[in-house]
Amino acid sequence: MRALRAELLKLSGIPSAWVAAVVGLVVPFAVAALNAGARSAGRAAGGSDPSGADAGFQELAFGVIGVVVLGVVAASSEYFAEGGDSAGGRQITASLTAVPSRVGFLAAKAGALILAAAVLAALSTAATLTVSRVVPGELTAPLTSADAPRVLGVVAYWVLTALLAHGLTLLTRGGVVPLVVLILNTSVVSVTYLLTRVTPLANYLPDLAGARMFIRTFRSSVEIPPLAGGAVMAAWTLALLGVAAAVFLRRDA
Amino acid sequence: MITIDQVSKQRGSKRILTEVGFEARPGRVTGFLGPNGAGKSSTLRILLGLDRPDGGVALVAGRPYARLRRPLTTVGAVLDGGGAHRSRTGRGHLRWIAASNGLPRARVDEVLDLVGLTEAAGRRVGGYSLGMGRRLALAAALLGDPPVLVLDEPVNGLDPEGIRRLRGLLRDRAAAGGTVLLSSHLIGELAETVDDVVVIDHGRVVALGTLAEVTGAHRGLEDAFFALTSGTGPGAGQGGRP
Amino acid sequence: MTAAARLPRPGPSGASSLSGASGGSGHSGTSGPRAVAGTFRAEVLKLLTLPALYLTAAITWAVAPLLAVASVSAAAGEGNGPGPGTDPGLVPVGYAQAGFVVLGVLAAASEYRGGQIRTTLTCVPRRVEVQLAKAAALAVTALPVAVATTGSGVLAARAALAAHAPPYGAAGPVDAPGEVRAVAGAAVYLVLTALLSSAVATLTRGTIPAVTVLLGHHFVVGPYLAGRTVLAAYLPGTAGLWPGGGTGADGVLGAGGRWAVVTGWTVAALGAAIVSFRRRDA
Repeated sequence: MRALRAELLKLSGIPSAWVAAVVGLVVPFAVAALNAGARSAGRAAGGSDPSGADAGFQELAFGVIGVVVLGVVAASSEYFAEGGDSAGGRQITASLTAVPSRVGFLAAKAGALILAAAVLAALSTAATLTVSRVVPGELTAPLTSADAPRVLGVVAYWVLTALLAHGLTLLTRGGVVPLVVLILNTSVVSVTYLLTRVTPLANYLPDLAGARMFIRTFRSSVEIPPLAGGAVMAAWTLALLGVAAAVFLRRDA
Repeated sequence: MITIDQVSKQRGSKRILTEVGFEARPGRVTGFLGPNGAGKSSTLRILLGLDRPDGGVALVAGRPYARLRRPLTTVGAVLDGGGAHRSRTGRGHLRWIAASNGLPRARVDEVLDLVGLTEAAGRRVGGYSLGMGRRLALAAALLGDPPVLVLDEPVNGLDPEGIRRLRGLLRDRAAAGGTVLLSSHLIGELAETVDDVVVIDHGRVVALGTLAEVTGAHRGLEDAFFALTSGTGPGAGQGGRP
Repeated sequence: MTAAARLPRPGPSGASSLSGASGGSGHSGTSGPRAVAGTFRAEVLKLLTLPALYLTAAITWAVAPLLAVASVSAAAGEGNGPGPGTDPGLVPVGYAQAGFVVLGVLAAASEYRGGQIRTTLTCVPRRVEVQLAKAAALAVTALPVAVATTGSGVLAARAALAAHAPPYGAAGPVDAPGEVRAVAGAAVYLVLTALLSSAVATLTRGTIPAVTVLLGHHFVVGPYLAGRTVLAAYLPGTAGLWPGGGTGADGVLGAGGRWAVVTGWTVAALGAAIVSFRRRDA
């Protein structure tokens, strides 16, 4: 518990983490507002979702870059410091002398990240769904209790993505590679989406499978039910974290 | 010749330097002494044009550092922290520095030899020990064979042998007419090396003069230092925060 | 002031105790051409001795054409893909942007690791000159990488297009001058991307915020806004995605206009970086 508190404090002390939070809140909200405006003005936004069933949810799929950054900086901040005057070197040595159990250290870090990502996801989802439903009024399918699993799905997607970013960063010990990979893959035509054109197996990559938890209109030949999609993404995440942990435990700090 | 005149610096609401003024003269080693956070590094950073003073001037050879055309041929500086990128080799680091001031490439190998880093020159700086990093920084300072040396905590991380060599080097430089200014919080070390002493505390100069003058009636420089800087001593602590 | 106004000119080197008194006058910028050349050479050397930059360049060169082929195939396979007007020379620009973002960011942010920026500024205290030399060095080193990337990308994309039947397939003989123009245009655009990225990294002084902002803009927010608001045409990435011609976004801006937007953003960002670099304590 003390280790978890320490990790939460560390995370809250990184300026980039706050930038990540702002990105995660503002990007989906602003884009959803823009789309909602276009919708109410009579222009259907995007041909792929004429019913508006995914309004808000699609934007949230992009907003995930907020927690990508969160997951990256939680790990990368241990390894390097930039800025004019860095009094210390790598924080990791201090961290591991404070919490010598590496398993405990990793668990605390993951716990802090899960908490932070979940809170951010919940706030962002509430804001984005509200703006995407309120502005266009009856033009969008209203949210019902049947949508509750989708909302949970978004939160799960964000948390799992944060953990993926985290695991990747622990492996590379630098933030650039995971950021490039994960942000490129959040783009409108994502790399994994291109891969589905090559092989249908690509539908089982973590991001595409996980998105089934909340996106209803999917252009794909492969059907994956929401729960199964979530399970596939969770399995990827666990596997990556497992590999990262195994490497981390063996490596010299 | 280094001239610091009435230099003041505010960072946020905190006043970190208040009208700091002293000189470091050719042919002498000047020690810049003070506890952690007293303003030593800030003063040296202003001297080197890295930070801007809110008031006053800092001059090297009669002009602000930023006006020196090939500064490395006038001033060599070793600042706290290595000043080198981890993933470059030691030789690569010195090579770009030499290029920036139009210094001959052969000079790189000369200074590497001078500080005893020839063997490690091809290795990445990230793999250097603390002492090796300091020696690399010293090599960079000596590249332009400058008449003025400015060193911030130069003995940090050096082993006894390295300290001895550094002391000899600084004494030789001063004997040849060079100006040497070095900051330290290691008083014992300083007493063995310096001719003149400037003591700073809470951003103000609290004493300056020759080693004998500053030591005065005290048993040694160390006693003098504590008398001048400790919160309980007379005349100390009135600077600093508003 | 008086000391700076004197103009003794000692020999170039050797007389070390005197050479420091050589006549640099004025604040920053007015140093001799030899000094500027030295600053530039130092910046090029810095870039050439950073392993991360080689790695980025190699990966960009290798991966961007592959992704270009994949995106051509994907779009053509879907039936809504590249129209007849699609310029194969521009296809590789898309994902290659990411590589040049990283290149620019790493080049600038590397100064802030290990306190190297202090070494740089003690070597050359003329801050504007440092920044201009940096930009020039980055442009010169990024250009060959950009040409290699777009060149191989054009060949790859053309092959992919040819593999599909018309209307998506490339019709007619190869238009060599057009192809060269396309490669050159795309390469220049990528160099501008690297410069813009280095300016942003100089402002943030760190890799992670800069990479996030730039990639988030170029790949997520920008493309998403394109087609939803005409303002998107004035953003650097989306406007720049197809700056050389082709079927660009919305037809809001012509080719010249899109070049103006991209160049304008780059120059503005470099200007902002120089201003803040001059003002800030190192």
